[in-house]
Amino acid sequence: MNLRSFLVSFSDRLSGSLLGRITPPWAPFSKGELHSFLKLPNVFILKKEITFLLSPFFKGGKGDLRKIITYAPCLLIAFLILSINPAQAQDKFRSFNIGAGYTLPKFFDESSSSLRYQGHAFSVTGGFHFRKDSSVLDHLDARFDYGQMSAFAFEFADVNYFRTEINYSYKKRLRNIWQDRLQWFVGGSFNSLWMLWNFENYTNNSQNNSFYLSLSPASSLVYPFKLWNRRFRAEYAAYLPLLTFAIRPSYGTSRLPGFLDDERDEPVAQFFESGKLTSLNKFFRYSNTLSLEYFLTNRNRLRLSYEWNYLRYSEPRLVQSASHNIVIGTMFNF
Amino acid sequence: MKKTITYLGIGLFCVALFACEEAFIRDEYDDNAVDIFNSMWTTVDENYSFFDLKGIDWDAVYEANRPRVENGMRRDSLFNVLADMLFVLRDGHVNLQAGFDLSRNWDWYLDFPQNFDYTVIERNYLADDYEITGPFRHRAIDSIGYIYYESFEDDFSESIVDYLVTSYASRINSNDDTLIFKGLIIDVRDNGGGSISNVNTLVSRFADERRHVQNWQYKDGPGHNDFTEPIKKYAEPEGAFQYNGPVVVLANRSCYSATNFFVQIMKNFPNVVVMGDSTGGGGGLPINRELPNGWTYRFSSTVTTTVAGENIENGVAPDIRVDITDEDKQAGRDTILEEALELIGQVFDEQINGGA
Repeated sequence: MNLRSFLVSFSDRLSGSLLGRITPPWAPFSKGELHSFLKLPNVFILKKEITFLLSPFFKGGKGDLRKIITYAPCLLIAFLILSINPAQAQDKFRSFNIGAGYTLPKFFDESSSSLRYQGHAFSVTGGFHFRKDSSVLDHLDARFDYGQMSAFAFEFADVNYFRTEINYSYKKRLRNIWQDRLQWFVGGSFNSLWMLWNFENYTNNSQNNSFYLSLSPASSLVYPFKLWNRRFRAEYAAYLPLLTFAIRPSYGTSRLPGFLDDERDEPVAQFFESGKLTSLNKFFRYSNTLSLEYFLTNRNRLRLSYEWNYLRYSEPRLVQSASHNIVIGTMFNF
Repeated sequence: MKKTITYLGIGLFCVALFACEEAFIRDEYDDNAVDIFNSMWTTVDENYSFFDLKGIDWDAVYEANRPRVENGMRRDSLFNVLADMLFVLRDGHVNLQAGFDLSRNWDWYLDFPQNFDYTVIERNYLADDYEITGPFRHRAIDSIGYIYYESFEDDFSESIVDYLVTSYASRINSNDDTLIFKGLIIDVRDNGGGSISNVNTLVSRFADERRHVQNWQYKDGPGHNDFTEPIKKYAEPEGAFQYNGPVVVLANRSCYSATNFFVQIMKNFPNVVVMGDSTGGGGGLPINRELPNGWTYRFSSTVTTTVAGENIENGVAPDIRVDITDEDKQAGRDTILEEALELIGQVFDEQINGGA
């Protein structure tokens, strides 16, 4: 067997397996085929052919390594995208989800500091997902982050970071797009977000509490597919709050309700009274989530998700925060 | 084709929105001398609470100091410029902290008589026979309870303060009509402040009823007079026992911040007299901020007033002004404490005689 016939044979087996027709690509060649291929002249020819094919891209030297690092993931992704097949519509599915992951949080808050803070946090997530015959997505998700942050001016972490978000969304399928491969869901979501940045080196203004309750339009693009005869489901979900009740620290100093009695002994009521109803002109938040679910044989699923979240609120002083969050978890069917 | 382009556009838009916060979230100032100077001046300008009370022209402070700053100048030179700028505020709650120095203005006590010498108290009044309960040193002197509290930074429990006020409760033994305690002296001289939650706990043992004792105002905008409406603050009786006998609080110019609050609140109670010198002041809660080079600083950002509306930033005047005399100083006597002992004796005698 020469090089060309070997490559043709491999290519046939690969495409055939991905289309579900014949044996998968990792099915071994016969002993005779391999022996005949691995004859020394063929190996030299293989090297020559590869060198010829890659010569426009790789010219030798350090630049090649950079190119390999850059292009290899792209080629891998392209390979995966080209390899996948759209799958059948989803069944009815109910799951209880748990997961853990990592968050890269950042913030800038004029009411606390003129510096930008960045850090690392540990995340735990939980939730219930109800999906009805590919027509309804009914999701309740919660996420808690704890971590430490510092400004670049400081050598040590001096802000403790706490974040809790509960997000309920209900979306119905609007239509299928991209030749029925992609399912487009639209609906609404209700989000509550609490963030606490605790400045260890501060005294009376050490606790920077924020609380946001938002109503948002939400949308999802769902792409069920098969890869290597395994079932997967990819989803892109996003929401953009239009109406938000936002509670932020007062202009300069955190209120100290613990010192003496205030005129009113109703700290919870006072906390909510300090909030404001706001909309896109002053409060902008956008959340993107990409998730990939892998179907296990026992109807449970593994889920890998990545979320990018950005928030900007200009009252009483500008605050901006963002986070990158990656979580891996299990969806227990029930 | 049109559809494909639309979907491709939507897809690219979604992908582009990931990880683009770097374009929006940035430090407000750079780490150079001019930006550091501007950062501090602006932050203080928008947040400090006593410009008008102290008659400070902050713009003039900028004009005077800005020409002294240029990028690339030495760190200690920049520190000195910033320290000079903050010194103008004449506020013990204002400090700039770098790794090598702490700027301050402590004229609030350095320009006044000290009116306290703990050595005299320890050797001639507490002597060997006193108790140390938590942060309090105390004993009975001439049937009057004497409690010395050095710093409101030293925490104590509810049970400790209950123990103290119960121990020195003004009362007569009912079995043999012998006098046990006439009253109580609380000495907070040289107490530079600390945690106001300790103030809260201590005053609650002397509150005869829920009583309006002071008002707080918070900054709510960048203008020098942008404050919230005054928020009334109340002291309320708490704990196992409320002390209702005669009480004298001893104060001097070194009473600052939380101690200033304590003295002012105690003045509201009918059985309490403040004796000695005015307190040093410190009527605003300080907040902390940072500079782009990692230095930190703090300054006052609230206003506290009495029930009558007087600002307590510059101190609380005593009910009875007493200074330690030179003769007493030489003789190892504490004039203020002696006056307090005498006053409580008189008040107690008047109560006994009046009652009889």
